[in-house]
Amino acid sequence: MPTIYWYLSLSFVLAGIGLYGLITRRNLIRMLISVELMFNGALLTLLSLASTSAAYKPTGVVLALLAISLAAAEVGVVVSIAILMFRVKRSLDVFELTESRG
Amino acid sequence: MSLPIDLTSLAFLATSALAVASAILVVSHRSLVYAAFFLDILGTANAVLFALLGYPIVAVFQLTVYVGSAVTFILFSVVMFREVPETPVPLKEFAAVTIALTMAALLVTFHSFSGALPQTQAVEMKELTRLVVDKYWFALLLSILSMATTLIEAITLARREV
Repeated sequence: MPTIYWYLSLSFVLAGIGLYGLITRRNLIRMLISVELMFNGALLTLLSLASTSAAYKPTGVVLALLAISLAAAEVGVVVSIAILMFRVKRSLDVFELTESRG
Repeated sequence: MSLPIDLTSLAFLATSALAVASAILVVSHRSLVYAAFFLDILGTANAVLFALLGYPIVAVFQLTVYVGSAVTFILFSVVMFREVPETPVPLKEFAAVTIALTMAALLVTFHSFSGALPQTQAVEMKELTRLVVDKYWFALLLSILSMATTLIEAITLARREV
């Protein structure tokens, strides 16, 4: 049976790949997708650590359900920002957003 | 005769291989549509891992709310954008080495869990509901308010005349 360390290792790999995508990309949607990858890794870490004891499991479930709901809401906001940005700039390059600073 | 590897380990290995392959394709695929599709696959693989850890409720929630709505929403939104070639970002190798070292440090830090087996018994729905209502009601209220606010924000931004 796989130990908790296996799950933790996998979650670190997923979060690391997501972080690499976030650092090395300039497209807003691609950065959002990389953040979602990191979110999946973080969620797996949370649930792996919560399953170390039966006492932590209910709390882990509640936190995971709240986190998934908020991640879904965050996707809606970032995609709508991307749509607006594409209508204004005709591009999704985040480096062009620096021109919008007040 | 016993199998050299049990079914849970086999399911874990197959799902984690699928998850890592999808994650690499999410980051490396040239097309945004395919990147979003592989994120969908990764979310499904993660749901299987949650079920293996003994969280069937979270697995179903992940499939319906996250994969079924959020990631599919990204996938359909991506279709609206014209794909433009990306400008290469410098220091890619430096970023890869730094992240690899951070991951190695995390693996060493959490090495004490190498012998710990997960508690795979499922949490009862009644216990979960009681916990949310009694202990985490404020977090639930905040998340409901946040979701309502983000919904209004998303609609306002998307309908805004420029």
